[in-house]
Parts: sequence; C-alpha cells; structure tokens
Amino acid sequence: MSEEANESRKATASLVLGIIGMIAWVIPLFGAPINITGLVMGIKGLKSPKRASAVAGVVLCIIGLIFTVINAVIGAYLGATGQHPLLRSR
Amino acid sequence: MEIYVAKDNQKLGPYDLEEVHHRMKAGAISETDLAWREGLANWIPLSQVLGLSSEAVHSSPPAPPPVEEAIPLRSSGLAKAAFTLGLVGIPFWITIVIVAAIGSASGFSEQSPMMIGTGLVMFGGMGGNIAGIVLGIIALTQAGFTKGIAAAGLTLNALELLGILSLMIIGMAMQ
Repeated sequence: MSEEANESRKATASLVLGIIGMIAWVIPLFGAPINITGLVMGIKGLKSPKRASAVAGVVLCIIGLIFTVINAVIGAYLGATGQHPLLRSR
Repeated sequence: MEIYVAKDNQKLGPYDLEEVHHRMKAGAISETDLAWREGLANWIPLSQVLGLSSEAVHSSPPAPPPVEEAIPLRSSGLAKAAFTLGLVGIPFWITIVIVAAIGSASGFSEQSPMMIGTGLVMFGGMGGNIAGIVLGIIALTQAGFTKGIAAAGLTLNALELLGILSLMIIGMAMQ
C-alpha cells in the first residue's frame, strides 16, 4: 500500500473516530482512548489528499477530548465528595 | 504548460506538469485543490486541469476557444455525514424525549439508573449534533462542492441542539 493511501485511510479513520468520540465522551473510559487515537491519526493524515477529513477529525477529537476531560473531572469530584448520583442511588 | 494552484488562500506556481505531479506525490498539493491554466475562465479542481492537460498533449488540433468549465455538481462526504447525523437525530430525539417523559410521569426519580442513563444518552446525542455542526461548517468552506447538503446538515443539527437545550431549560425552570 502506498504511503499516500495509508495517510488517506488515517484521515478517514480520524473522521470516524471523531464522530464516535463526540458521542463517547459521556463515558470518559471510552471517550479518552477513542479521541486520543483519532487525534493522532488525524495529525498523521493532514498531508494526505483527504486533508479535509483529517482536519474535521482533528477538530472533532479535540472537542471530544475537552468534553471527556471536563466530564471525568466533574465525575471524579462528585465521586470523591460522595455526591455522584450513581453512588447516592445505592 | 504553466499551472497555478490555490492552496490555503495562496496562489502557488506556476508549475509545469512534472512539477505538479511531483508536488502531489509529496502531499504539498492535492487534486481537490483549485487550479488554473491559461485558457480557463475559472479556477477548477486540479484533477480536472490535469485531465484537460493530458487531452491537450494527445490532440494535435489547436485548442478550442476558452469556454467556462462546468464544475461537477456534487456535495462533499463531510456534508453528507453532517446531513446524515442531522437526519438520524430526528427519530433519536423524539424517542429520547418520549422515554424521558414516560420515566418522569411514572415517578422515576432523577437519581434512578434509568433516568441517569437517559441523561447520558441525551448528552451523547448533543455531542452528535455538535459533530454535525462542525462537519457542516467545514463542508461549507470546502471549494469545488455544492453547499446545499452541507447547509441543510448544519441547519438540521443546530435546530435539534437548540430544541433539546430549550426543552432542558424549560424542564429545569418548571422544577
């Protein structure tokens, strides 16, 4: 497989992971690896012919990663202070 | 033959055919970038310019007078993705609102796993709408494609996001 085709696949994969990551951020355990992987692939695919897909993937993964981190921090804070809804419902 | 290429709001060139192919292989330019050569009325995708160039090499008669090149009327993949996210969002949000309403009417507390799960799915759906908005905006900035599907996807996702945010605000105000 040529390097150009390989980079194009990474750009497409980044876009797909970016869309999934924008939904998966609600569970940081899934959101973090998906968005980080998509971000790395998007950066590697920026010089491919599918540059627009790579740019979209990078943008979505950055937004998804920010949401994931905020969600994780809030979840950790609520869990540490005993206010997390899932802990209180037990 | 000298070819100019537009990339990142900069005019590159002029390049000859060999240089263009070399730069495409290096990834500096792509066939979707807009390009222009003498005789063209407008900037068109580089792939089309290269197609015209190879025809010119093989044909011995003089080139016909310049005519306005037709840009293919197709929408980008990003626009289709944005529109698809918006379309999927319609039945998704209707289902979620019905489930939340039934849960609330049945006396489920906000702390119950069912309502927490519904809330998580709602936030996930909002993420999907934000993804659709981002894809729509990027698709609108892409050159060489029609904008209709991108605009429809952007509008659909924005309306769904605004609608669900309004419902959440109204719900919180009623409590």
